[in-house]
Amino acid sequence: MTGTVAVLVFPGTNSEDETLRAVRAVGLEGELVHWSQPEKLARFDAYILPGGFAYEDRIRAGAVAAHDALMDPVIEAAQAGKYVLGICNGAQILAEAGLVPGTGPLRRPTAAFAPNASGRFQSVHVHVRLAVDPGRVPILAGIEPGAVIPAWASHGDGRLAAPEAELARIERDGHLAFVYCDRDGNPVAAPNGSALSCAGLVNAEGNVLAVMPHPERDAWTFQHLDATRDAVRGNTEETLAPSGGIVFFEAFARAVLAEAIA
Amino acid sequence: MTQTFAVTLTIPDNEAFTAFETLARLGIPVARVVRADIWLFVVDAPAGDLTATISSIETIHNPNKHRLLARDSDRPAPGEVWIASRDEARVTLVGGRAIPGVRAIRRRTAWRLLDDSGRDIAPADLERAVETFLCNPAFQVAITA
Amino acid sequence: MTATVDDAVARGRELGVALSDDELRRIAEHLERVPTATELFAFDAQWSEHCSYKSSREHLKKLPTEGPSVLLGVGEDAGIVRLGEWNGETYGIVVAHESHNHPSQVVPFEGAATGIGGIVRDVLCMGAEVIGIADPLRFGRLENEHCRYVAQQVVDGIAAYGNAIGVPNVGGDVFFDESFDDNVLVNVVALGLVKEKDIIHSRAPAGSVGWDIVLVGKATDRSGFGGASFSSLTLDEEDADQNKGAVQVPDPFLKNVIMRASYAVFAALRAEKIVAGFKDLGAGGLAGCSAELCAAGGMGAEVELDRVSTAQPELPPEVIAIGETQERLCWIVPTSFTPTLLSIYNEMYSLPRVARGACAAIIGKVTETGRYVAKHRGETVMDVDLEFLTGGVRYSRPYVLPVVEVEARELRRSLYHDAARNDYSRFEALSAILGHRDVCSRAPIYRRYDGVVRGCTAIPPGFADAGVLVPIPGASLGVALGVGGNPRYGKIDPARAAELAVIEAIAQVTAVGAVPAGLTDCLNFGDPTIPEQMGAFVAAVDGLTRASRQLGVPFVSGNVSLYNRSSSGNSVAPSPIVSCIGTLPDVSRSTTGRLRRPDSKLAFVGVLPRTAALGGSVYAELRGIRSRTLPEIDYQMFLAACEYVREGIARGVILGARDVSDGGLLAAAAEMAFAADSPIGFAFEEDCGLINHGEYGSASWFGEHVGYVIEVGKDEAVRAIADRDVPYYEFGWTIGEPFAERYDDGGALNERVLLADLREAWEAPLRAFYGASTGPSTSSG
Repeated sequence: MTGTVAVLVFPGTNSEDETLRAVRAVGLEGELVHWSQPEKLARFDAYILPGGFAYEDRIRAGAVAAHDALMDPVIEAAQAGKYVLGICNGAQILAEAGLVPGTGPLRRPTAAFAPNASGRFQSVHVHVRLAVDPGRVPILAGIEPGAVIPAWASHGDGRLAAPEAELARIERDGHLAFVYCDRDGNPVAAPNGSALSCAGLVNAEGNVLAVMPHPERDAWTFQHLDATRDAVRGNTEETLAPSGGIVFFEAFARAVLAEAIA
Repeated sequence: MTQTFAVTLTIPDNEAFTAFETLARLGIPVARVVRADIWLFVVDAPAGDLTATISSIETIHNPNKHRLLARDSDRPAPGEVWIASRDEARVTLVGGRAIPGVRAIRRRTAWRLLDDSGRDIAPADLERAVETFLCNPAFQVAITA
Repeated sequence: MTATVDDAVARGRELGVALSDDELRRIAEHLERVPTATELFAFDAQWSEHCSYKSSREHLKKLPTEGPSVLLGVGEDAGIVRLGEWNGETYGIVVAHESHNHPSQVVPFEGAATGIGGIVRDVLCMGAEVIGIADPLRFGRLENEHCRYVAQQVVDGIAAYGNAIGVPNVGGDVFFDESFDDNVLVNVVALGLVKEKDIIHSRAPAGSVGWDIVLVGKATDRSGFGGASFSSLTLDEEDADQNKGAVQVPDPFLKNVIMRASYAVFAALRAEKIVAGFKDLGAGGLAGCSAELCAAGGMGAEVELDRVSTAQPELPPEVIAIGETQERLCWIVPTSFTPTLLSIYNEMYSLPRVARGACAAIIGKVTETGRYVAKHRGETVMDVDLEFLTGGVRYSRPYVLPVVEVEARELRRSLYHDAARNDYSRFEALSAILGHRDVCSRAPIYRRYDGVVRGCTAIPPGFADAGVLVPIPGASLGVALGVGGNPRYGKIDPARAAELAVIEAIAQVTAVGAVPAGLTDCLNFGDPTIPEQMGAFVAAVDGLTRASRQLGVPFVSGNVSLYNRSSSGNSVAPSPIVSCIGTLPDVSRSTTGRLRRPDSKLAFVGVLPRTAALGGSVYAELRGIRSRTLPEIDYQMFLAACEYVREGIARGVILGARDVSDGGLLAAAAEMAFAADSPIGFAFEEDCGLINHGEYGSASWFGEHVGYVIEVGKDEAVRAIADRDVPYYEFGWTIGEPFAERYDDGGALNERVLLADLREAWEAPLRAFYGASTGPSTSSG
């Protein structure tokens, strides 16, 4: 039994191929589902909203897609407890859909991945650290406490913004899934000015996860910028093998497979 | 004091078109959506040539696709809603350029929702459009007349 | 007939076309009637410098264009080099190189954005997936308010477009020079991936009579009318507002969707084994594109302008036919395939929902007449012989080659000696060099670009001289992209500058371990009607030809941009900008340009200078040295060094490498240290200078020699590859502490600085300019 994962493509999405590659590399059965094929969406075990600029970020990043018909089955699935993962623009869509932190009514956002403090797009290599008890994120089954994951923060709107009370609730109730850190897991200032140094949000049930940085862009050894790639120089197979950010998808796969079997 | 400008597109406004489609899906009785970029310039004294200066800054006004109009008021017109960022930083540059005599620059998006006879939709409907779609209260505020 | 000819000239003048009186006469004589407005604008575009290369073609044919690595040479929208074999298929890398200089000066944000839009279509229409872009930029002085504005907006425009379409920006370079104050250079290179058997050509296929001509993309509007001839005019401040109308409005979001839809069309064509024709609409608009498609296949065309989707009512036929509205492409497909094509664009990818009026629509048929016929509201508005229209005109412009002074040895010695007298320390000089506008860190720029989207980037900008992509998932094949072209050299000697540009581009891809497979160029020069400015162009082409031939790397595509000058008539610094595509059979055998570990050796491999040559160097500028002697070139030595570096990298003996270029040896070593993953510093011995002539010490360390700085490991390993006739010169070593150290002739530590201080000098200049917030983020549209 393999877990099936739909990778959604909205007009303007641009990271679907590498996301699909990561999904397949960890043994899941991934498929791109295009905006003109909403009828296909019901039958999947899990859903990923990849990066890009759905609907050109018109009105607000993620806002139009959150109200799109394509999201109806995804929202239903999330409410039924299926796993839904949003990366970058996907994270913005999940916030606009009210699925993360998920403390208010549907499609009535209580938090936002708002424009970066610098007012512009920025692409930098980062590390993010799991900031909640692994038990709070069943969508990343068996992930190690405090796991540090390499990724690229490539976005113009990734700054967590919410009223003070909501920020307090996000912190207190375990919605702050990932924070920015250095490679050893020590806290660093968020490159985008994000509140709580937030890099990712999770809902109360732990089945919907939104992360701003892209682990799929640092998920193969040849993509690494640290010494791990030099260590396997000359070894073709190792250089092309998944590693680094792939642990994020491995954890996701464990969750989806466990669910698919159950 | 503040000098206010509205910039609209002379080419098809795809953003307004998309907003219309989404609002219609949400059941808002709207037939046409009109959008404008609002630029507010806080100045020490009325700057006569401000129009000329900003009309040459492509980020604000690109004659290929924009129309620039000075407004009398720094508040929304009746029927109009402005969306602003809640935590906007004090900005004095635009497109990397400082404008002499300008102490702060603020940007808003103005929306007008019209029914099929070209009139503003009912205030209650506009409010619903703002709450359900046009404004994310987590970081934005809606300003009406 | 005379009356007709006179009327034609009068008509042309009245419509404001850029065609000369002679050209108008030729057209009237050929047609034997007064041309229509649509025809006049069509000829205006097709016979413009931009489309016809009328001044440059006779010189460009000198460039070497053939070689075993070439899959498709010069002639179509882009060239293709061989990447290698994978799973029984031959893969090629499509490469195109363009300029968008004039639009970027007038409307910098949209001009630069549109530049990317255009080059991406050039690659796409070869049937390729677009995998990478790079921007060589030449800005004016940042002390000048308007130059600052242009420099900001251009970078924002590139970021806005490239990021949205999801193509990684993997390289490019930036220079600042006063000659670009009034005329910025915005060049762009794009790469694509295609299987050799799936290449689509920009021509009506054999036997395509009766096939459909399908226009895809944005609704046609008034924007970009007159673009081709506009780009061939000198910019005049007074015309700036009027010229803005000639710049198109880009829509990267629509392009994102069109690219993906086109990939789906490629798959459908493969499945049905159909050979189609595909071309992008650039200069000359719909008529230019469809005419060139049909002319290339020896066919004719009949087009109904009323079937073109328009954004504004009542567009005159000449605007529909010639206007350069962005985000449009043209297909020639058999009628049996048309429904599939239309359904992919219009339904599956729902273009009409993405942008108002956008769609794919049949607009005409391929004919066998050899004529281009366009109809509008039942009237024939264009009926011309295709060969005459697309054959263009040719000029042999008079030119005067630049006189290059050979500097007497005594003069050079006195110039350098003067500078050496009140010498500041090596590290003071290095710090100043690292903080120079042309050397300092480009991170504040490239961080605005997405360099890693698509998940194929092995080396993003900053970690090596070349960007590296691994474009086929699962395959070890890599592509490296390097760019060269120094305006300071161009001002001194355009021919030598062109040679050094080729050398630099090749050195950059070699420094990561790649084999140079092909070159592209964008030749940015002044007014071809001024013999001196034309002469600079001719000299540069000679230089490119010499370097390409000597190094055995052919040109596979290129572009010429003339009339780059200020309103006062001065040309920009002659700027032959060259990019090199390198291929890596196994990306695991590549390396980066950063220091890796302490206690390894630092060596120079390259053209060992016989004499001091600081002309055009950053150091010379900082010290006010007026020498005009450019870096020494020795092709045999350089080739030997390239082979050495490549082999050393493949064997793992060379840990990291950079080409020397701007700033010299120590600047290259410092940049390698800044890029290191852990704190590693470097040291050098003063008496290890490459040229030991007392007052020439500075020339050793700060001369911009042709060659590489390499970090090498163990002695025995070095000997394994050093056993050949290669100029190899050890000048220093790496240290496990974050310092840079200088040892004097007796081996005593003489000067020591914190790497962090050098890094700060290197990072600060553009961080202040590009790093700070530039204002409220603007909406889309």
